[in-house]
Amino acid sequence: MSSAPAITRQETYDAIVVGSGISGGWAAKELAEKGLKVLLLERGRDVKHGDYPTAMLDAWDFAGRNRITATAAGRQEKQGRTGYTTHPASAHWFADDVDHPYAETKRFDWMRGYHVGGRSLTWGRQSYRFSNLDFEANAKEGVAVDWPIRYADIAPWYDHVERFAGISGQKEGLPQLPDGEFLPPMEMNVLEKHVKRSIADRLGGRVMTIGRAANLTRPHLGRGTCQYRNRCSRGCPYGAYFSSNASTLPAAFATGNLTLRPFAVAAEVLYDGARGRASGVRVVDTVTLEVIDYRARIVFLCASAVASTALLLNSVSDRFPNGLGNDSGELGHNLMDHHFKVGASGITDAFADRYFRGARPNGIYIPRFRNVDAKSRRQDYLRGFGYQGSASRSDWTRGIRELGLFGGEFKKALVTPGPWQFGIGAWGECLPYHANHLKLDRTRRDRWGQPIVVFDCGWKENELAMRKDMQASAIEMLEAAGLKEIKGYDDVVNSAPGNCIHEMGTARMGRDPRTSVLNAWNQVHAVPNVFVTDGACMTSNGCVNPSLTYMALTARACDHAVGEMRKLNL
Amino acid sequence: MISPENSSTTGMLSRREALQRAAFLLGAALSPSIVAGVLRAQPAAAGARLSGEHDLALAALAERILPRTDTPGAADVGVPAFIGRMFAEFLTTAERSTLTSGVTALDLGCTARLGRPFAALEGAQQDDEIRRLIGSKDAAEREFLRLTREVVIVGYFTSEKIGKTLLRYEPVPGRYDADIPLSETGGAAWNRP
Repeated sequence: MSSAPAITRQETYDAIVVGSGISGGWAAKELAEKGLKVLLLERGRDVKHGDYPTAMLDAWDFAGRNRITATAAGRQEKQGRTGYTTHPASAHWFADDVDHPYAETKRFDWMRGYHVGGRSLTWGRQSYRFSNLDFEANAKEGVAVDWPIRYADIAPWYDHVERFAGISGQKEGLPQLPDGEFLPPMEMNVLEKHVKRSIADRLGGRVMTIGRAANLTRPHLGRGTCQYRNRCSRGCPYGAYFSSNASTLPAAFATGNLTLRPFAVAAEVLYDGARGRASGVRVVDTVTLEVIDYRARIVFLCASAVASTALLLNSVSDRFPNGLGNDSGELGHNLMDHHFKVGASGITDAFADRYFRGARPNGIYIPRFRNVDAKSRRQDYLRGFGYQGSASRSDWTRGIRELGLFGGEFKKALVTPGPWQFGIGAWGECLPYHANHLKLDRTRRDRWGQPIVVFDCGWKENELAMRKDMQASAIEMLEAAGLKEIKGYDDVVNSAPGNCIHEMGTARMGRDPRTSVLNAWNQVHAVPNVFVTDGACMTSNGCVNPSLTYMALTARACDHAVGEMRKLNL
Repeated sequence: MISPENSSTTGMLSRREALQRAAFLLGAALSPSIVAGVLRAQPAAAGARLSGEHDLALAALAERILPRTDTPGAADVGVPAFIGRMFAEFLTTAERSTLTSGVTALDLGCTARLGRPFAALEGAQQDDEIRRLIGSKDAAEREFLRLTREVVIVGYFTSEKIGKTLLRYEPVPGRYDADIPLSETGGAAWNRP
């Protein structure tokens, strides 16, 4: 691409939303339902709800059964680092690393889905609310900057998005994990119930609850009930989990106000220096390489934490030589993810005559119990962690590990379920460090002329100290449940930043334009008609899965934006 | 590695499940460093083929690992062809090398000691050879057996015949029953979704 591309045409809308994943889908729906003419930009291909090519395939329908070809794997070397994203059932939902390169000063696993719906098709669907424990932590501890909002500001918006998305779960009355507007909870199996009772009885009432999941346990707003196939990451033909494709985009289209523009890479947010406002978004058509300027009164960046940040960094002007809205110098910094891949597992001989029917796409959750009050205060680290896990009976795959066995009896045994096993892994909070950052390398460009992102991010002392407790506490709970062959693990190497796919924080919200990028309404401090409502906005990362918070912040920001437009402030 | 425990699986694998299985794996047979190495394994260019001799030896090995009894054996559900396809299109360069060097060494050893390549031995002799590999002090021999077992077990249990007949196949359960007697499935495990 030349640095002064030929602009071939222009179009004008009320609002432009960049990115069609969880945040962008919500922005499109909320703004369109409020009457705005919305243009939704997506860099990848279109995917209509139901257009899920592998959804009904069995293992034997895939040539490599459980593997993509060696050639295909070579194009997804980084996406494959998770160990589950490049399975043949879902590899088509993850980016091609050859066409979409990035660079790493330190290893960073950047998982991306370049298609309409983005990662809303493949997300883990675990949906938890942040609490004031999270929103107040930075201020109380003197870490980074204070969140400009508190739980009361976002609570009604959690209600709002939960009612539409459909979250199944159990109310527990915990201050650190606020209850929501839940559909009926899924059920725990026999071993999970046993562990739940054991840790409550023996560890001072510690709570284990069923995962709060964006999977429907009854029909909801025209979408079907979960069929317990556990094939969610292929796309659900029943619409039984929340995705942009099944949920927000159909609602947005129903208004008649939405225009979807796939194959459009956002290259920069256009800035009108005379007005001190953004005037639109410049895109490159990924197929024709045509450059198009789209104009609008407001712009919502929902392209994912990294991509929205990169877009702002790439939007330079006389006023903003270091990236749009980057007066603070914090744009691209304070990159966070959850650290995980640490926990324990064990087995039991109990319940040998019990089993389950159906593949539940959800597990159990053990809410944070460290640093939640004076009694649980730790001297060795700040913040805390929660556990996800599940119990099941092992299947034939256990035979792969039974290296000394073969023959007819071995085969016969593998047809039967093995012992019950229970495992939990912790998801830990990571502090926001200015040193953990991403930047652009303008000397290296992708096929569409865009500079590539370079990551420099690593865990520090607080995270590493926390991990010791994450493993020890897991072992302690499994011991309390009387399991045997308990084994702890801490795979810190493969818990590289990014691997948890909860990357966030690189355009943080704050009270002071000198130390933050966004205000309390997700507006760029100095360019108030630009909103960033994906993970980039996060001031700290809590320890719970963040997507529900992105949904709530997006809906809240949309409401504010339209109110400001009506008041003619935008 | 092609096992469900790490880089890929036979069914839907969420992050939670992947971690769960990684946990069991890390606690079990393999060291974390091996798992880490596996996750970063570099794939090969496609197009290679196993030689006829290698085909024969691996097919014979597969049939001793999962032999025909009153239920189908490896050959009955196409495991030998599956091994060939995995080799040609799906295994990494390192894994292919493990297979070809391992099977070459196996045939050479059998011929030197017993006068015949592996595929031509009696069943009991083949079992002795497998036990020798299991107890081998040579890491390359053990890795050859580990990888072969893995491909064979995956190929067998992800075949349509086994998935629909020996295992309990219910592709659209429609509901989750958290606690049923094992007798309701006749003692069989569910097919992986």
